[in-house]
Amino acid sequence: MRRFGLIALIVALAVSACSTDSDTLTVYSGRSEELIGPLIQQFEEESGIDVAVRYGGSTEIAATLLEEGDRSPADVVFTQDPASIGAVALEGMLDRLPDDLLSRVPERFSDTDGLWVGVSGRVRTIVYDTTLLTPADLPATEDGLIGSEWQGLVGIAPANGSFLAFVAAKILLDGEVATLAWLEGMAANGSPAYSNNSSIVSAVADGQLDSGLVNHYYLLRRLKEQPQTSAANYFFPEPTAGSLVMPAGVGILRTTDNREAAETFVAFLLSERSQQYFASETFEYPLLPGVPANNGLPPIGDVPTPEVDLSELATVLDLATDLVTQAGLL
Amino acid sequence: MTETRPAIECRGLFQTYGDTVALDDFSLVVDKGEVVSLVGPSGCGKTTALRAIAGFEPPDAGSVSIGGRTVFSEGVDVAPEKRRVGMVFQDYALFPHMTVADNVGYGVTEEDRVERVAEVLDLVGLTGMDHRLPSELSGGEQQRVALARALAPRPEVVLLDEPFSNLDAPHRDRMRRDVRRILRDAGATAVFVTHDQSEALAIADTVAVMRDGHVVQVGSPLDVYQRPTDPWVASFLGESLAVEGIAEDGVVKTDLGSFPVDGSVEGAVRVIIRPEWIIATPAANGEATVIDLEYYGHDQMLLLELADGRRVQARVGRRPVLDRGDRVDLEFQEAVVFPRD
Amino acid sequence: MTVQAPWGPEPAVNVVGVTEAPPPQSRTGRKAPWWMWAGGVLIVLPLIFPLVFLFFRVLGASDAALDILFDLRTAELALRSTVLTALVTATAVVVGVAGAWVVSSTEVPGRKAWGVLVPLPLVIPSYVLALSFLAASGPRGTLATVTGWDVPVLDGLPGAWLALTLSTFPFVYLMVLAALRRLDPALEDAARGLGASRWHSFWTITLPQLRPAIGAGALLTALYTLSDFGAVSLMRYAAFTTAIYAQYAGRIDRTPAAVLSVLLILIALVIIWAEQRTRGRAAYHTSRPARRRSRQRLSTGERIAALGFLTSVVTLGVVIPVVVLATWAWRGARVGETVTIDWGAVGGSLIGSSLAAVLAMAAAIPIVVLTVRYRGRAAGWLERTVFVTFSLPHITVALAVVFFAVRYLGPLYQSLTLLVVVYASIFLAQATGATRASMLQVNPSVEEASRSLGKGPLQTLRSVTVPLIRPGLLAGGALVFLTTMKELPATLLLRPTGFDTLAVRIWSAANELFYARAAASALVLLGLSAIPLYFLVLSTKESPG
Repeated sequence: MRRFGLIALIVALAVSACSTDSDTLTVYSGRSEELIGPLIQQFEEESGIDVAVRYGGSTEIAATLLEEGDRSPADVVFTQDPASIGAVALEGMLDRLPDDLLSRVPERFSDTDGLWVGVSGRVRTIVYDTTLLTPADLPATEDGLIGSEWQGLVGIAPANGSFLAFVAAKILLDGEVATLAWLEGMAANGSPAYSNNSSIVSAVADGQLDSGLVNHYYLLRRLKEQPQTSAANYFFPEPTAGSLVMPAGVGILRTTDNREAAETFVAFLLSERSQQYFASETFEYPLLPGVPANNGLPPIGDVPTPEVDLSELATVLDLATDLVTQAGLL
Repeated sequence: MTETRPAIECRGLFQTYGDTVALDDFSLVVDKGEVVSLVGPSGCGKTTALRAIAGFEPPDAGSVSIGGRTVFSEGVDVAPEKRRVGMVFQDYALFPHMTVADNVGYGVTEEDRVERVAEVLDLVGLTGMDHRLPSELSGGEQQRVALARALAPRPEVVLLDEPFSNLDAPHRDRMRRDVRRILRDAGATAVFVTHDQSEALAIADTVAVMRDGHVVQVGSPLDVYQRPTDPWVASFLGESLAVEGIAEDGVVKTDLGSFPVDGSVEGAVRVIIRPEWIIATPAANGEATVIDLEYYGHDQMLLLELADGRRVQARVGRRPVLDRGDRVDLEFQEAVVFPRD
Repeated sequence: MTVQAPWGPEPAVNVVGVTEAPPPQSRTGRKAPWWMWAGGVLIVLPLIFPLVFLFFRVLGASDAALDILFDLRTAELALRSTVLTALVTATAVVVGVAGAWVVSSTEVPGRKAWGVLVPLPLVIPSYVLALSFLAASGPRGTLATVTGWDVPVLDGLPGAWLALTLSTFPFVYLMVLAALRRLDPALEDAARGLGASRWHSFWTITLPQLRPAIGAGALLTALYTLSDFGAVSLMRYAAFTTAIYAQYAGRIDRTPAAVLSVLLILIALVIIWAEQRTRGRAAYHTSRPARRRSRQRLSTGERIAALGFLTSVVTLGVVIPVVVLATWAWRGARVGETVTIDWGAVGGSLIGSSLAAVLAMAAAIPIVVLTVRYRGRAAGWLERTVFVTFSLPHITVALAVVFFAVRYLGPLYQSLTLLVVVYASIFLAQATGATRASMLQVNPSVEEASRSLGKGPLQTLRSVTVPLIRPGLLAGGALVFLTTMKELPATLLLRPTGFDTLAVRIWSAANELFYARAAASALVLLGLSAIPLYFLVLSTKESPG
């Protein structure tokens, strides 16, 4: 009886060890399964290609790829911010995408060398408790948040990829010194630190926190589940790092053994149907011209955009973490 | 030419644990069919010796052979399961998750099992108990199962480690007799370890007395009791009184009186007298006073005080009837004499 | 979680909680067969290599990466982790000991039901407890909504303290419960007979005898708290693990995370060392009770107090989380959210956890036999390694394994095999602890009897030893199953691509604010975990042998 159990165990382990199927398309996703799981399923049904997705934080996924190097089983990398996919591109691990895919979205949302393409857009906003604040109370840029009147009122997620990408953009726009000063100002203000955007949105919606720096779509999800929530998004009116549209990016690994399927997958993400899915299900901005954003959102053209080369964000990503650590926020 | 090889032959076994010497040149030869008791005070190494024979703890040096086959010596160390030794443990060590039949049949090959189990259970008087679990048996019954289990594979020798120490007195006497009978009926060669000298004397054909890691005397029970090789053996095997004396021309003179002695002994000697070798006769002005007495029914033990204050134990019959304070005269029937250095 | 005093000849206490008598006598005897050593060593190797590798990686780190070691913030985080660990350990001991004593030694109404309910928080992951307290508290939380009171949010240190106390006190509870059941009632009775009050006799007679059990439970609690990530992160209590995670998740360069990890391992080792030092020469009274303990009668006041205590523990640790989860699932379903059970994740959890449990049980056998029967320096180190492995923060272990596997293990990287082996070795101490308790009850002469009856070591192991230690093995397996079901960090980093577990589903859904889905997965997780827990609680009742 016991011996049988042991043999079964050994067999199960052996089988599982050899079950890596080379026909399967392996996607490393920094975007969560909750968001893109249904889309992947749809892709599998339509294309007949099996997809195995490895989910994780965007930076984590990028670091994992760098750790794996040429041995990586991944075919496609899909991150929620341009900085982490940029880090993979910087290491020379990505191949240039075909022009017909790159040309589908506006140039400013993709890598300058065509190593990755933007898929959907997210905007940094302030989520605030509507019973306590009005848009008039909120500053024009993130720099207004380090004033003493905001003492303890603005939640941040300092370890989160989106926040770090925002800090990286601020370094590119304002310089290292100004960025560190801003971070230290936030720290001196005792800004409550959360583990991620969603806990900030929950805290604001549940009346535990006045406001917080987040991506725009978390609140929309909360509103869908609990429509009576008394919270709203505030978009910074000035073109700073705080109002940057960050595209989620997708790229194909140089070492892929499944290039055709990988391109089919990227093309699928840039198809009208997928773009509509982003608009209606994840509440992100579709980047394909002509696909409208959710009607609760201002049109993407109205979001003021600072001059940042997204491909360069990766070069200052670790510096961003250094500064956040230095400011005492981590 | 058909000289039978000894069932067990231990030569010069040494075993130390850290600073403690458990076996110190231990040697023992046991003939086929012989029941030997290995007796000694606790800590003398007797259990270690048994475990060395069984193969549970290989000694540091020496050799062991069983049935003429060397099972331990320089470069040889046969595993316990290949030594053909049956072991009966102090706590019986029955397999608690197996029935009596499964316990007894454990060491028997598949084809012989049913038959052999029935045979051995019959031998130990447990027929019909096959399906009981050890926890459902009395101490004595567990003991029998343990013995049956050890005998079942027809081992070369059976080793018993303090087998009766977990039984209470009335059961112990009965089990002792039964075990002796079972071992004889089975024609088994057996070594059993005990610290109880009366048990050692009662059960065995041969008694091996152990002290400080080696055997100091081997002989029949009568031999070792009546003719101990030294005063220590004498006092270990039974109550005894030691007195100093001088031997001269076949007579030993002591302050308790004179005894005849074998003429080869001359000079200062130590005389050992066992309580039952003393005859006490009531006398109004006797040389000793009864201080205390324990009356056992079949006999009695007197504690006597001599004129010089020394105390002596005497085992006497049901008579004379004495009381504390009575005076008696003493006579010594026998004595063992050791030269004194 | 068994964990015992694995270091030496002293008796041990295990996680399911059994205080043990030392084996009848020290029998050095023969050497263990080589295959037993091979089995014992083989199971710890998968973690030893990666950790050594991690250590060398840290040694070879650049000065910039090492800077983090001397950062003031690092010291502050170490302090914050230590404070939290000390608080949680203290309260878990109080709650665990009090709970075990009330349930086992008094005539509190509903004793049997409480016995099953009180340890239930063991199956609820600490991050689920944290989430539910966050949802229940606060100005718009469930409690405030229902009562209209002004409820402050429960987060930060108090929140982490409460959530972790509730998820760790069952360690202490289960161990002390088993120890109490084996305690000789005569001693306490004697004290009472000598005129000591009930309180005084508990304090002076019972408590000292429970020390080994309490010590082992406290050690587990401390190590668990130190390495917890989910609860502290949700409660926004910055601690060492959150810093490791931040450095890991926020950087491309993983060396600073590795540096902090090694530091956390050192803190864990200090705790283990401290527990050993304070254990000192504690007396281990291990007489087997000849009769049942008489239960204390309670006065009305005492009965109310006892009931109040048990009710609050069960309310906080079981009722609130379950109600919150059910509310979320119901609310989500009402607004048309797809609240379905993810069968893939259910399958993943069950497969991963049961394979890990079976492997841990199989590996526990040689380790326990080696350490109990063939004691010695090497066996001692082997057991110590198992124990230290259990105390390591999973994120550290997982990180080390990722580093190592991607370079040297080829196809095993991201395989279910590797994940299961890591699960089994992380949680091996639970299996060995429970098994060791059973093993200590196996009379060594029983094995010798088998040997002298012609059976070799392997056959003796199979037909005598293993059947006799089965209760302990099964209890250990159940514990490993339970903890693997909840495991998150190692699963996230090491799972095969496409492999999902309920814990991962809960985590990722909650992270993205899909509370209804998180709740559905969490409820399934609790349901599945309750089954082995039931057997576990049962197993501490009957003392085998």
